[in-house]
Amino acid sequence: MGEVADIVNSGVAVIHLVANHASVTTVQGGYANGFPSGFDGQGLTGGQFKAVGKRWKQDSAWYDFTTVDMDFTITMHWMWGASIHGDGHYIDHITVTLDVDYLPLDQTVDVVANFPTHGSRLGTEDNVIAAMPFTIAVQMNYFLGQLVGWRRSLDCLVQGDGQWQMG
Amino acid sequence: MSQPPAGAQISEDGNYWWDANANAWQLIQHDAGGAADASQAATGAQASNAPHVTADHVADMMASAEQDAAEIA
Repeated sequence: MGEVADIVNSGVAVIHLVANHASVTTVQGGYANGFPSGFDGQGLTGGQFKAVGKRWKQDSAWYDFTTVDMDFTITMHWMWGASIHGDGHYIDHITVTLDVDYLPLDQTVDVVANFPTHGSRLGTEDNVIAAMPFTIAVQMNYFLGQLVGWRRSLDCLVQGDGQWQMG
Repeated sequence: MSQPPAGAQISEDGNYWWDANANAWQLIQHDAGGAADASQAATGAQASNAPHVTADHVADMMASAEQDAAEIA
């Protein structure tokens, strides 16, 4: 597509998900993207979806009152390998989901993904590989004799060649 | 000792029931009540002995629960 400008995100900047024992609520959802600057997505062809998940699963012994059973997974999804007029490896439809198999009654999990306005351009001028770094903040609160909390920040990266980072 | 019949008047301390036929207070059998008292005592003990959870403990627990990120087929 000729000279390739910066990779930008013209999609959502924040995805916010909240889960408790009963359900997962999407406070703010949608998709981020990683298009070249000035490109609106038209003419994007090909590509395939990939999902990468990170799971927290805890099974405690019945007599262990200090450990809480839980089972939830945070997953990042994106389409990679898309091309523009046959060139490049672009990304689109980047989103984050939260799946809960089990949470105790008094436990909540709060997930916020923050996407930047600009991504990264890897590869070469003739073979651009788009990449989008973002962060996922995981906040968990529960009542175990007293209210306690835990927070974890995940540095994430999805790329047009299918490579990824989540940790 | 005996169990009070349905509808019997119970003393304020819960230890006796009024026997109208004998015109006297009868001592209530305390096995069941004792068990209940023991249960309540245990519950109270558990509450007072609830583990003191620290931030380090929570961090350790979550680190133990955390699995490596992996592609989902």
